[in-house]
Amino acid sequence: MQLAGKPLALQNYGDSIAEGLVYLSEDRKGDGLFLDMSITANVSALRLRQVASAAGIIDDGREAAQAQHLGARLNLKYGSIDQPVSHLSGGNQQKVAIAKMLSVDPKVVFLDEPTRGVDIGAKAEIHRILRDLASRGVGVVVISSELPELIGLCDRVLVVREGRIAGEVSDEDMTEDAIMYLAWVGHQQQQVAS
Amino acid sequence: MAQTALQQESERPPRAGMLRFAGRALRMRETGLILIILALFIIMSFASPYFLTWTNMRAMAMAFAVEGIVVVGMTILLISGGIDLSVGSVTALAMVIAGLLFLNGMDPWMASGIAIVACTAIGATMGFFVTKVGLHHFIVSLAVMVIARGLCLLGTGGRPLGLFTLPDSFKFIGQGSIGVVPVVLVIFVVVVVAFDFMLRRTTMFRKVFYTGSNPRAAAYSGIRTKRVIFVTTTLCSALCGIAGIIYMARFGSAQPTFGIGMELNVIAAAVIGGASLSGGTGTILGAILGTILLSVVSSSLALLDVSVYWQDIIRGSILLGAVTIDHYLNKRRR
Repeated sequence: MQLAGKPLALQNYGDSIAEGLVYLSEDRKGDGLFLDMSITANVSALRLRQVASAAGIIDDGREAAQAQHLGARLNLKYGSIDQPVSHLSGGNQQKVAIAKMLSVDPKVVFLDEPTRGVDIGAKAEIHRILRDLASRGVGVVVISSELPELIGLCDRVLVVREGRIAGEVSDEDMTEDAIMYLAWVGHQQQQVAS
Repeated sequence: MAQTALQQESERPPRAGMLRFAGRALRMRETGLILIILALFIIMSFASPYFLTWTNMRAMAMAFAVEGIVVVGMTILLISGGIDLSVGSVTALAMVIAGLLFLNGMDPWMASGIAIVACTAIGATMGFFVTKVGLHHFIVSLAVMVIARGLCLLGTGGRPLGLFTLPDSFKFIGQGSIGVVPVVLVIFVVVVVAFDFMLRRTTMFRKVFYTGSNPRAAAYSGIRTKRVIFVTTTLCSALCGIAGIIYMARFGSAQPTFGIGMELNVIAAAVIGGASLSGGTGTILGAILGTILLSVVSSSLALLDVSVYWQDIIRGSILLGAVTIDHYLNKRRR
């Protein structure tokens, strides 16, 4: 595996975060967020040391500022930055999960179903955030089964079928039909051929 | 859009900040506990002429101070999602090991150091079984509870070791006073302040919260959760070792049957103080207030001549009540 021409040797999650590769799980409550902890603590979880002194003492002010700054960038709506994430709506919880990723200035973000269980308004905002990231040179990889979302959001779509890349569409070829064709019709043709 | 959020941020007037603070203070379990403790103090000062005496206050402080050190360890372990039932017997084992070494001619400080290291090793062993073998804290510590108690009885033949020859300089840590303040209380305050600070402000202990709150999310966040749990498990036993040594200095003896049922008190104190049995929440201050509350309750019951059997029933009921409240708070949170 290579990132920007540099080979990567990843042993664990910590290594991948250190290299700027972050992943947003589709199961944000199970894998992503610390629901009973504050927005602040959630946002800083990936790289605590950047809000702490060299001796490992957390700077409360710096930690809150980081959460407020990223919260503002994502238009996160909250009462207090110290309130538990469980008190937020689904869309705002997802924004906290994204803020958590952004806290480490990632080079590549992988998002699995980033707008599942999110209201329409927050969905549009999440799309805007992802486009914004891409325009800043961050690699954005979205895994989604929602075709309109993919077509509206992505520059390129890779269709994966049974664990293999079945094909790629981009620009004007990027239609629901084309994607469905790669996902299903090609599959049936293959079966007929074999 | 980002601008509106910033505006909201700056528009929030200081009044709202104060209300927020007041609201949080009211909601905080610590405030509730302080009020309950104060109420008990007032009621008891009328109910018993002995309650508000210097002797009784001192006895209560001595009682909760040493146990409070164990409560600190238990609280941190609970936050990380673990539990330790072996605290009582590991505390007794520290006494027995140090006592035996001392009786065999070793310097008491050296003996205490070895005893504390031995307790730490027991904690590390439990940590090994939990994190490497993959067993549950509950069953591992239950087994260790019985094993450590067995070792105590084996080492002493079941009889308390009289340590009358302990030098005064050593007994000082358990019995002495600096001015009017018992040394035990000073040690306790130092431990509490140090761990309270570390738990709230250090990256190392913040990881304890992440691990307990959501172990999978913590692992995906690059936190070595097994290492965290290993450390919290070991730390709890190490603090039991320290407590055991202070008890030995206080009693001037090593009692192999000491600390039976201590785990109940300690877990109850932590849970009353807001530590969740499902991990992720808890504060040292809350847990200490829980310890003080339980200590005031048992001192009150003793002064009111309530039978020992009733005391157990009441303590158990308080624990059940605290866990029930914790359960409902948890449900509401999820």
